[in-house]
Amino acid sequence: MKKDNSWLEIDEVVDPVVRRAIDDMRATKRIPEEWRAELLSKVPKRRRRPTRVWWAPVGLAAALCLGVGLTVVNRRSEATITTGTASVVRFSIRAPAAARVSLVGDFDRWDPAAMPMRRDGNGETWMLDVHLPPGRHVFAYSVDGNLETDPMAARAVEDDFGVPSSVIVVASLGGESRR
Amino acid sequence: MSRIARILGGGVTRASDGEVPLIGMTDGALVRRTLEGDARAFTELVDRHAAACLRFAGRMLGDRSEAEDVAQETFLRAFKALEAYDDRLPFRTWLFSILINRCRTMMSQRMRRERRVVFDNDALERSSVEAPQSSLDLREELNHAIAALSPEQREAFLLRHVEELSYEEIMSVTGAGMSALKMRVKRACERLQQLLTDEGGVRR
Repeated sequence: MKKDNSWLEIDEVVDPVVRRAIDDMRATKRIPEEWRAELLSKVPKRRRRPTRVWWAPVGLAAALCLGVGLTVVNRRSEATITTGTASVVRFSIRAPAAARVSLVGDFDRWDPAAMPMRRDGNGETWMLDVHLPPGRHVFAYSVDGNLETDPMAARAVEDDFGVPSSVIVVASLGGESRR
Repeated sequence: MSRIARILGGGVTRASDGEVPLIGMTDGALVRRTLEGDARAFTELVDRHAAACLRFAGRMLGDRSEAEDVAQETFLRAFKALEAYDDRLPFRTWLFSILINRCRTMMSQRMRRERRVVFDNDALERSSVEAPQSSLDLREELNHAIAALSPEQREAFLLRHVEELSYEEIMSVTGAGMSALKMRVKRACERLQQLLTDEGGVRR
């Protein structure tokens, strides 16, 4: 005989008296200033974390031989993909004349302020290392407010909606990532 | 010349951390910036979630001082464990998993001290907005009704209806099963309805 679980579906129906109580409890707004100040005074200073980057197979040999990251100077942009457990992805784009470049995508809700990129030593390429969970991510570069795709990455079908965007797939543990 | 160079062609200014506005950033982005050493990012996380943490702890514990201690400890533990945060889980849910454990620990310590839950009017004042005099009676009844629930019912009810976590999120932070959680919420609602409509019932 099948167990009757119908009650599981109706628990969201709340009596008006209880609903009023819930609304009352939700109306919390104030953070005690002295409590906040005390908490922040207890937060230790965090030293800047060194970025760990695992290079994609295409750059792995060079990285191992030279001990440095692979730079492909004739590419306008590249995204270096992590393999293994650490999902650190290096995004880079060559934009020597840009004043501001940021990475936007579904991982930061396409917020141009969330992930500003930084120029590397040559002053022409903008870079950013990002921790990404395994899975498919749609992204683009915001170059002085203009969205640019990554020419080395696959174009996203979301282009159909008028937003130029690229796709990166970060592999799960032990897998291989691809664009 | 590349397309970008043709389009832009302007001067170059180096972006600096101080120029980056934090308002509007996702919690995940703030966590990353905190890990990179940006102290402002953690302050922003505190400002976003402290009210909810204080509200939940205040209702669970019914004691202002304990609630504030627990909420502070939660943020400090979260800061130390930030490397382990997986941004596939909403930050608030992850934070609440720490908060719930701290509340449970506080309650068990209290039980060992053979203290009963004592309702603290000052704590409730902290966790509520200003209210007209006409609503104070209801508020007092509500406070006593919440305190009259079992800890498990109170926890499930607050997470579901006040903090508006999904049942999946509540399962992940409490370790309880879906059926048990729904039963606790249902019984909490029934108990509250009974207490709030039965005049004087919670203040015997």
